[in-house]
Amino acid sequence: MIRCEDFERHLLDLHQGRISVELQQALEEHRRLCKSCRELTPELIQVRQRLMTLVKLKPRPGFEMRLARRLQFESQGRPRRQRAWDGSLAANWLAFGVGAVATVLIGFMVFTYHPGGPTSTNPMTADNQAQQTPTPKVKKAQDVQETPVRNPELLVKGGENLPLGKVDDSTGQFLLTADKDTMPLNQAPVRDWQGQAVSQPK
Amino acid sequence: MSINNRKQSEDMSSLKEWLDEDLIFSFQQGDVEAFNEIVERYKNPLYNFVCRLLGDPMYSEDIVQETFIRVYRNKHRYHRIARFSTWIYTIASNLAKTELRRRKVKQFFSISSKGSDEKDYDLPDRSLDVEKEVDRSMKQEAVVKEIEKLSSPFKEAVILRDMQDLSYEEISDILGVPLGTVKSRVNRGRARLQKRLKYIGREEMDDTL
Repeated sequence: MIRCEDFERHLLDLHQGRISVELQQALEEHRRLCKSCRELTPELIQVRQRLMTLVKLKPRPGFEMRLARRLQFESQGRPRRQRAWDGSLAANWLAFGVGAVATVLIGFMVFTYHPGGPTSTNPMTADNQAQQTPTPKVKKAQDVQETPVRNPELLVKGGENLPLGKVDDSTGQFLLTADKDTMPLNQAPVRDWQGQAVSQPK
Repeated sequence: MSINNRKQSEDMSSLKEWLDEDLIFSFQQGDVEAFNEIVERYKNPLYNFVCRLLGDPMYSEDIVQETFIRVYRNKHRYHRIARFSTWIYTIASNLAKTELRRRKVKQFFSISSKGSDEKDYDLPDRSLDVEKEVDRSMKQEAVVKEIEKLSSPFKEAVILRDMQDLSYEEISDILGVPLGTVKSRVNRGRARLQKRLKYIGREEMDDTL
């Protein structure tokens, strides 16, 4: 049984008729059956022969010693020698760059963000709006100073938690609760922080 | 010679006659001498293969060392269903391809112009005169450069077949591709080399006929 390797070895001899008849028949039979060997020409075999004559490279002397040192080095759990530049280093630089850009963007957004301020960042537009309309901040302050409307029924009096009065459903008027302490403001006694009367009104 | 030394010497000489598979089996049982014999057998072929593939002697030695370290650490992963040479070449090939991918090397630099290590690669041939030797060296360098220009799959297949002299079946196992693909790659790689080397050393090729 001829293999492809045998065919390659004997092809040049076959080409020059330097082989026995039996071997020639076997090689021809192999070539008939093997597609890749049919494509094989004497020129390609010459290329092979030329490659086989190339010098066999060898490692520098002391290879075993360097290997033994490295085996010993790694068996002690020490890290391998780092190369000057590798993929992990590139990834680190990339991560650093992305982090720096993200930091700058976040800082810019925090610096430019004004809660409740004008939506436009154009100073010229903001000035025009200020000239045409009253200052929004002043108007806002006025709104805050207005006394809110309170439900009279929820007003309580002193520490007794009694309602000061109630709204009459039929008339819609607010009626004060009958209480002996209820009196006009100018007739009310002045009391200290403990609730005791310190002077009587005139 | 002491008895111990003689016994050790006999052991060493007997190890040289062992099959690769027997050596790795012995190493799996804890025999470190068997591992040393494996290193002795494979350091040159592996270095030649990796160095032709990468075109870089420094990294080639690094990768060959890494290959042996992987064998050392993962010795129990080898099972006798495959040839040991296939296993160790597969490790070296994968490491070399990883290195190639990492560096994205497209143009490998020449082996023959590496300065101080050049002496180690030269074969002493006293019969040739200086002129012929220079001519031969230049032609070899041209061939190496043309090999380096091949794309990675063709280059790998051609190196394993025509420089390492491995069988097609072994190459198929190492590269993990079908047998027909290996043969096709080898032939196509050779054909490309033949085209490029057509005008280099024609007379030398004629001499081989």
